[in-house]
Amino acid sequence: MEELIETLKQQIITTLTLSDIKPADIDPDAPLISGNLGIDSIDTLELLVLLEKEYRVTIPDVNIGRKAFASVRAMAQYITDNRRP
Amino acid sequence: MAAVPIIGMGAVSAAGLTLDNAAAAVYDGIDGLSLVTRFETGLKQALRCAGIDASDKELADGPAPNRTLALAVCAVKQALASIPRPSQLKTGLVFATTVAGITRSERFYERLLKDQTHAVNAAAELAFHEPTALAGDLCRRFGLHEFHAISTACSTGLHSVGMAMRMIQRGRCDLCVAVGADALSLLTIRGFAGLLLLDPFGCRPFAQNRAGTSLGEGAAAIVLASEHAVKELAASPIALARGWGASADAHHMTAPHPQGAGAASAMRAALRDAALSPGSVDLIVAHSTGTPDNDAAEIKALQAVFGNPPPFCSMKRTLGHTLAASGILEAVFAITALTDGTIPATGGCDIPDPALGAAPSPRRRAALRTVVKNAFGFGGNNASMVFGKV
Amino acid sequence: MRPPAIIASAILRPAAEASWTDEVPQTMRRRDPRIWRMAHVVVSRCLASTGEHPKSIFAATAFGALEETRAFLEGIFASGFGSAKSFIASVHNSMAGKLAVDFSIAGPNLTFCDGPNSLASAIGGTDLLDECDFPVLIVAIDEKIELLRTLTPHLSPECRPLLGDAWEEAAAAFMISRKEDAAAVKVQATGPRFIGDVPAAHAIGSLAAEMVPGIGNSPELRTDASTPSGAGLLLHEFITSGANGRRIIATHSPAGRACAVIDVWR
Repeated sequence: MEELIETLKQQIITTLTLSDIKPADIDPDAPLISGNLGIDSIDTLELLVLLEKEYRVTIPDVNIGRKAFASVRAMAQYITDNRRP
Repeated sequence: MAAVPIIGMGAVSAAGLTLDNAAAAVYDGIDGLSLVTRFETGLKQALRCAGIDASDKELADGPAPNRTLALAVCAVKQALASIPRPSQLKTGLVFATTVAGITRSERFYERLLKDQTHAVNAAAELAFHEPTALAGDLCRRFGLHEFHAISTACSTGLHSVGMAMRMIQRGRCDLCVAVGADALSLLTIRGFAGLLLLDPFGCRPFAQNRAGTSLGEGAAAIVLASEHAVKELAASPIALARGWGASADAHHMTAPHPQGAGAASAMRAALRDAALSPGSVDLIVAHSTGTPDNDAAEIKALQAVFGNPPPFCSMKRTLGHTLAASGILEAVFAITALTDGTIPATGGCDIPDPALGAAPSPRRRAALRTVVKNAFGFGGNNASMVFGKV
Repeated sequence: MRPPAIIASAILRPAAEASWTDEVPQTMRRRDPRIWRMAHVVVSRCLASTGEHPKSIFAATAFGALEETRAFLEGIFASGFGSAKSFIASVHNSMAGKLAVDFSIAGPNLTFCDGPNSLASAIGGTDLLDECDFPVLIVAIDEKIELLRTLTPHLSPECRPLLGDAWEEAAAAFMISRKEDAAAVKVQATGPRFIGDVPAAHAIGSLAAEMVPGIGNSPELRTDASTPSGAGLLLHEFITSGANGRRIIATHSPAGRACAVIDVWR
C-alpha cells in the first residue's frame, strides 16, 4: 500500500502538472481537495482518467467518487479494493 | 411591467412527440429513460437516457441538416400551427441551444482524425454547426425576422422565454417565438460522464442517496405576443408570462452556491418583475437534476425565498435533463399543469431525502394561479420565471 | 429609453502583444484554457480604466471555446478519455461564467452566439435588461486555432473570406452604462435580422437607415467586421480616437443568413 501511495503521488503531480510540488510535500492523509496543493474538485476529475488508464478502476458515481478522492490514501485504498486482477 | 400573453406552445421529448401526448406522462412522473441505442456511447456502463424514438426526418417532417434543428423545427411547428403570420407584424425569435450542430460536427471530426482528406467535406458538414445558423434557418422556415441565438448551458431555454417576453414588452416585436433545443450527443454524454454527473440507471431528484442526473433530448417553443398582436390574430391566450429573473452565482464553475444564493436571487428578481409576493406562488417546477449538490442548493434557495415552499416537483426522470431545452421544455409543462390544475408527481423520488427538509408533492389536483419555473446552468448561471393564469 | 453609453473599453490583440500572458494571474497559468486567460486579461484592462463595477456580463462569441471542444473530442476519439476541464470550458458560456466567478459579477449573465453578428446581438440584448442591471460588461472574443486554419480552404465561398488569414484573433471588453453622461460615446444596435437571399450590402444599408434615418449608405461611415471581436476592435478604435460624429459597424453571418449593425456616436 505504501508503495502504491508513493507511485500515486508522482502520478498526481504529473497528471495535474503541479510543477512546484514534490512527492515529499504531499501528506497522504490530508484532504486532496482545497488542501495545500491548490487542487480543486475539477482537478480530481482529471484523476479519474489516471485511475482508469493506469489501474483499470472506474468510479460509478459522484458519491463513491467523493470517498475515493478524499485523500491519496483513500485513492490507494479504492484502487486496492477494486482493481481487476 | 405588464404580463405578456402566451398564444402558442409546442414540445417534443421522450414523453411524446407532441405536447398533448406528453402531458399525462409528465404529470404521472413516468420513467422516460431507456438504454441509448442510436450510437455507441463508449462508456463501460450501460446508460439510460431520455432519447426520442424518431428519426431526424420524422421530427422535421422533411430533411434537416442536424438533429438539434430537427427537434427545434418540430416544436416551433406545433407552437405556430394555428397562428397566422400577417406580414405587418414585427416578428422575432430567441433560440437556445448548447449542442447546436455538434451531433454532426463531432462525427466529422472523428473521421477527420482518421483521414485528413475528409476536410474537403467541411463546408457541407459544418454549415449548421453554429447556433446562429440554426436560428437563421428557423427564421427562414417560419417567416421570422429579428433574432438572438444564446447559449448559457442548462439555463438557456428559460432565458429565451424571458428575453422573448422582454422583446414584446420593449416593443421590438409584436410576436416572438422562444425555442430551445438540444439533441443527445457523444460530446455531452461523455462530458457529463467524465464529470461524474450521471446516475447511469436513472436520476432520482430529491431522493435519499441520489447519485446524479440523466440526460435527455428534446425541444420546446413558446409563442409570446403583444396585446396588439393578440387582437390582430384573434388569438386566445393560453397563459401569461409575468416575470423573469437572471443571476449568476459567481461562485464556482460546476458546483452551485451551497446556500443557493444565486438561485434565490433569480427567483426574487422574477417575483419582483411580476410584482408578486412569494406567498402567491402555487407550484414550483424545480430545476432539480438529481445530483446531490444541485438539489440540496435548490431546496435551500426555495426555503430562503418562500420559507415553507409551496408544492414543488422535478420532471427530469420523465423528460431527462435536456440541457438548453430543459428550461423551456419544462416551462411548457409547468404552464399546462397550471391550466390543467394539476400538481405533477416527481418521477424517481423513491425515498425523499430527509436531510433536505422538504419533499416533492405527489400528483394531485389543485386550483393553481401562479407557477414558478427554475433553470440553473454550468458556470452558476440562474434563470427563473413566473407564469400565471389568464 | 436613453441610449446606453460606453464608459470603458479595452482590447487584447495576442499576435501584436507577445507579453500579454504576463498579465494572466498565477492561478490561471497552470491549467486554465487560453480563451479564459484572454478574456480575463481584457476584462482586467477594461475594469482598470473605470471606477464602476459591472452588475451583469454578456459574452459575444462566434465559436466559443473551440479549442477546448476540439481537445475534448480528440481525447475521446484518440484515447477514449477527454479532459474534464476541457469539457467544462467547451460550453459556449464558460468564459462569461468564469469571469463572473473571478470578478464577482452576480447579475444577469448571457452569451450570444450569432457568428459575426454576436457583438451587435449582445449590445441590442442590453435593451432587454432593467436599469438596475447596469453597468453591463460586454466581452467579444474568439480564438484562432490550428483546426480552423486547416479547414478554412474547404469552407463555403461565403465563409472563407471571413476566416481567412485576414482575420485577427482578438478580445474586446466594453462597460455599458445607463447613467446620464453627455461626454460619453453612445451606442445602439439592431439585429441579427434574417435577410435570406437579399444581398448583405443592401440589407445592411436598410438596417442602418432604420436606426439613423437619412444616413443612406455612406461608405465613409460604414466598416464591415468579420468576427465579433473584429467588430469590437473597430468599436474600440472609434472610442479611443476621441473623434466626434458617428460610425456604423456592420456585420453579416453567411451561416445564419443575417446581418446586424452597431451605431456608435459622440
